[in-house]
Amino acid sequence: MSTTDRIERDITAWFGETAAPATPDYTDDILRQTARSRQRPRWTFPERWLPMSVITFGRVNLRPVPWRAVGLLAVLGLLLAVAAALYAGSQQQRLPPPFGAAANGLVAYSKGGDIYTVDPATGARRALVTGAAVDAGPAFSLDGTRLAFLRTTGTASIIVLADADGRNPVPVPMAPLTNVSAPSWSPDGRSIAVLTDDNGDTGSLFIIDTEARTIRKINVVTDDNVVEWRPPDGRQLMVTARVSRGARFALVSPVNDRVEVLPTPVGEAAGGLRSGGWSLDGRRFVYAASDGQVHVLDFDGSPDVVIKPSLPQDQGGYPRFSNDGLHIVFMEWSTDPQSWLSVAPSDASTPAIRVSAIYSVAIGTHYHWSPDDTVIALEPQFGGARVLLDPAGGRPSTPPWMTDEVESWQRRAP
Amino acid sequence: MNQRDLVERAGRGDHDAFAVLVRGSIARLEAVARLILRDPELARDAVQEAFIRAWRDLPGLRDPDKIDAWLHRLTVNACLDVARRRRRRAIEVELTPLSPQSVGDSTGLVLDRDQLERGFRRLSADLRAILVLHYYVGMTVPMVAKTLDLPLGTAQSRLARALAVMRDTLGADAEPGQSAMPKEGLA
Repeated sequence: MSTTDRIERDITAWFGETAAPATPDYTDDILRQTARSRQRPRWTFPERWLPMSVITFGRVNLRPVPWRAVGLLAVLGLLLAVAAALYAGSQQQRLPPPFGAAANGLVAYSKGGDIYTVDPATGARRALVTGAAVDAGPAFSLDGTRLAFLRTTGTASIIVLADADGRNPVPVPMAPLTNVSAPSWSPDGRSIAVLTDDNGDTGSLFIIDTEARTIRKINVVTDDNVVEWRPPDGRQLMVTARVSRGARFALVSPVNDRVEVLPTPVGEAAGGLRSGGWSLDGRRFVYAASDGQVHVLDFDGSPDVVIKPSLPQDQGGYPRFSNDGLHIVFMEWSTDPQSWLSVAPSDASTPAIRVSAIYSVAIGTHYHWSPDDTVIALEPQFGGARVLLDPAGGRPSTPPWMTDEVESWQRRAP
Repeated sequence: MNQRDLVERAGRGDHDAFAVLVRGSIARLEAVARLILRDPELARDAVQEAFIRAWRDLPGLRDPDKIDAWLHRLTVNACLDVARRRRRRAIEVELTPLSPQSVGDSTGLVLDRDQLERGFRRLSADLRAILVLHYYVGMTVPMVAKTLDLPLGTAQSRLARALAVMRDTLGADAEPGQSAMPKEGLA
């Protein structure tokens, strides 16, 4: 027997003696540790989706590496990458914040079952979504990059997601909903809330996850068709909830679907409450109550601020915060069958001023501020012509669009 | 359920299946780590590290039938990492008692285990790993090369070098007046 043979044999024997396998006492520690940690997603392993020949190519074709050439190429590549990044950065579209004043973009609207955009500055129109399907209710995401709309058959609708220019439309896989409101985007653009009118009196709230492409119903009975994501991060949504025979505002968490019904200081009659949006910091909330006044509720617990109408004895309703949170537009009416729109400071420091003509018939309630807060779009009569109001009370103008319903104004970076 | 099913289930996030795999292999891998590192605490660190990495990267294992070789590779790599981190630290050598049968080996072929210990401690961790995989786990040299992701020639030359160091140490021990103490701990 050679020395090597003997050493090999002795090593084998020695290993066998000194390392008898026994289950160590820390096995459970390891399992506890791994149970708490996550696995790498499958797609992050190139071996899973690249042929092995590609992965092992570098290993099996080993040749001397020309480091100097590689270095020069690397420097050249780096320079090109920096140049490309600078160019892309200069070309990249800046996005507006989800809340607050922004620059005015396009206006999306539906007409005759198709969706169009118009540039309010130039009046240039463009058909975004056309065809046999009945499409309506377009809503731009708060960063202006995406569009959601309703595709309706009979009275049942599904949500369709698309790029802001109408390209790449993708229907959300969902059971159709009946009598559904226009989509309301979350600040991060991931979720969409919609309300349904279930029986002409109460409705339901649904939240759609646009990335997972799932839809879920929240356990709350709604009393109104307005849903408001709470600034600055959309951690809650405000809806009007039907509670027994009355109505209360309710905060809904989109994370765990928890519903928190708020004690409303004024007006709990069903149909008597209407939300009007949040202040920029998410601390104040404007609403109309059945007492005929517009209130600003502060979540710090202080008493409601009551907005002063333009005439002391008048009543107000259907308020909307401006994007910058400094003003509130609302419908004002007197005992006569006349109504108009007024704008007041949100701290109620001064009475409101009238900003529209006086109408002798009921006017539309879905008026809204432009992203830059310079105009308020109003449809005075259902199906009639739009007017653009000056919040400072100047002369109204006529917009270059005619729509079947409430339009959506795209937000752009200021 | 066979091992292949367990591996596939564990790779899809089934931690119970992973636990079965761990319990079925940890004793063997711990022994490998103890042999390479010659220190129970370091071996524990290495085995923990190897299994944590195994759980994390299991979804990337293409061939479930290669789980054993893969786990050995993770363990050896973890041992090398641990050894590198503790390069300058003195290594405690665990003195496991010999079994009575070995002590009384009448053939006289088993060399004095202190000599073997000294020779083995002179080896760097990667050379120890080659010896352990080949002589303890029983892998062929091509299997060792594949497991450690080495070219076959490199594995062969490292094995030869490891054996040469062992042989030199044992030869030196046999010569009177020469120190048999290792020059340093783990490389």
